[in-house]
Amino acid sequence: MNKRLLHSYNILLLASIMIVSSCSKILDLEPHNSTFTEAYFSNESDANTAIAGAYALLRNILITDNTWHVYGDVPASELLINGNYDSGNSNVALGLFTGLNVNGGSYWNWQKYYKLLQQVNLIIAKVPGIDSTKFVDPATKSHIIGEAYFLRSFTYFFMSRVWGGVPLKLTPDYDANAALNIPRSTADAVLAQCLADVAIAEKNMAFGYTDEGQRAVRANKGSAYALEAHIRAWKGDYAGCEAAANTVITEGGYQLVDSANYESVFIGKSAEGIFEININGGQNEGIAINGGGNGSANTLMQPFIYGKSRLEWPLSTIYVNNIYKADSTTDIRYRKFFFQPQSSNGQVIKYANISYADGSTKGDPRLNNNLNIFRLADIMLLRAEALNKLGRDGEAVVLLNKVRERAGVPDYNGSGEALATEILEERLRELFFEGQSYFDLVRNNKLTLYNESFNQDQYNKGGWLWPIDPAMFKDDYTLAQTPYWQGKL
Amino acid sequence: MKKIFSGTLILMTIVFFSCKKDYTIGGSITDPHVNMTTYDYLKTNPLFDTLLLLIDRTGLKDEVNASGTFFAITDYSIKNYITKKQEDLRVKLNDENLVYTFDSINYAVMKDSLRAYLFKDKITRDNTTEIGRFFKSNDGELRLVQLIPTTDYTDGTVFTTKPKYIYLTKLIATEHGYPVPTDSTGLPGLKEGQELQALCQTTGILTTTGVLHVLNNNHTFTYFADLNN
Repeated sequence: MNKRLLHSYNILLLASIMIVSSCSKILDLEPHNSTFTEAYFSNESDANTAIAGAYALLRNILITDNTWHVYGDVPASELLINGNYDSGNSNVALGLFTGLNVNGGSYWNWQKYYKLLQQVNLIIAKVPGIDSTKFVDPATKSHIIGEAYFLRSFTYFFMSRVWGGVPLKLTPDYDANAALNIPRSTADAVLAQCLADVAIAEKNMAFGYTDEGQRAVRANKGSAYALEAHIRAWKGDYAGCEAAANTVITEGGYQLVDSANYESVFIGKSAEGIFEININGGQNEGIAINGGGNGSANTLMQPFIYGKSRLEWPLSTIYVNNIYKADSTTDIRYRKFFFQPQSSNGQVIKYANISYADGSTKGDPRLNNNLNIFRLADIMLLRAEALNKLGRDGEAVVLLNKVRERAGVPDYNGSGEALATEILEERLRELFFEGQSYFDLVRNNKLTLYNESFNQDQYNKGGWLWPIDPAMFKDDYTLAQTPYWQGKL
Repeated sequence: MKKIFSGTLILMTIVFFSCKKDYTIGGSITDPHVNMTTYDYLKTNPLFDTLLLLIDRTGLKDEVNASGTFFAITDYSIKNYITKKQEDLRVKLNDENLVYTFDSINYAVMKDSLRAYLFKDKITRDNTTEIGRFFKSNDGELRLVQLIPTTDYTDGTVFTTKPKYIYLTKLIATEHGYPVPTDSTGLPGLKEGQELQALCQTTGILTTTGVLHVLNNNHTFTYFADLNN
């Protein structure tokens, strides 16, 4: 054997040793850059980022394609949508939820809601298992669990107002292949679950905020009671609604913002805000109006957005005149909320805090207004509505007039059915374009009085609920279409 | 050497001549000129037949043809006016069955309203700016003509120069008592809501008698719908 051959044998031996030993090591290693449930959820920062992710998913759901406004405002006929620019939603305004060009992939489809629910269910399942000593303040742990229950309750409540009964998914899926198809529960069962969840949320959270940066954009005890008031009102349990709303008003520490600073309510994190979706250019979370944020700021054009000469969603002059009637000259809201409302291009300027990412070129406008979900004026009027239904008109009038005084309109003195109408219209005036009006009208059974284009027969047969996307049936044989829409799409 | 030189010459000739081609749209060179008077040109488009009726009944045909610029309103704008006027009169006279039609218009009074859309000057894109320039209309009122950039058709990032639209703008005093400026020095102090802007949907038609712009269909004649904003 010559020396050369020996040398190559040595190399071969060395190589095989290296291959064998290195292989086993690499294969045994756990991936260290992916989050998987066993390794995640081990400390406070994990819990915090998980809940922040849940809020981000909720933000995405409500903002994308203007979902919050399309469900809550458009079918109430607040807007006279220009069919040339947004033909789908001009049909939604008429109650034609399956009309030509309606964005079914977005408005009929609840898949992204279940992404959020998966995240929330994970938090509910895993955060209680994190050792309390891993939290700087043990109260943070229960608060985060409370926020998760709040988000689950809110999401199911929102879905139930849109679709009625939805599948109740209350545990996380760790293995997507093992996930089961669940049929739609009844709307009653969904709302009962919402109430159970919100009760846990109330217990787990506290009033007020230690960090002002989190005001209203993260839920607290006040947000949970506000949600409970809304759920109970929707169920028709006005006694429970009144009590929950009263807790928000007396213990929440919220106060009405002076009407001179009305704009600040819609910019967000004001003393009046109970729950909001964060949209803030300062935190790089403004909505880009051109390009990326296609279809946002639909109620605005110049002079509020430089260079925007088309208005997709002009306000409905008829609707505005109907709800403001003779008060339009004195009502501060009429001037603060609308721009040239009598013209064919009337703008809703509640959400008109625009900044330009490219400075003086003004080519890249961004919207910096939080989305108001619940605020104090809303809860005060909701309690007034409940009190009126319970026959306590005297107390209802006091709350109603607090909201009216801020708006600069004279006090109202009435009772019974007339007061009920006044409270409803006060809500329509105060909460114009805040995603509430459609549900207020449905709850009070008065939708077709205010939106005359909405078919009475469709409304009577439950057609105020939305259909679900036929595309979802292909993976799930247990699903059934919303009753009114069966055979219609 | 000679070959290279002649090659370069041919190349240069090609480059030079290809540059000279005119920009064409739709197969022919756009020409803003029409060989008709403003009045006759309006006759060629059914969108203006009610406007022509209005011009005839107010007897302004000659004035239309004598003016340097006419901001033409379409039939829709007149229809908008009549609808709004009817609503307004029903409230004011407390008569919900009142009917107001085109024939109910008081043409003697309307004469000046129509003159507010006629100008002695020739107004084109070249002689106005974004903030606007005042022009005196034939009824003596001052109107602002603005040339405002838009993000329509582009998202504002593709081109450094945005396309611009012409607006005919009426200035009003608002309830806060902001004054209506009488010359260009007052323009920077204008408040939002003082400008009632009407977008032009077609601009710069050059007839044998003057310049013709057409206001958008949503405009209401005399800005009547915008006045009580």
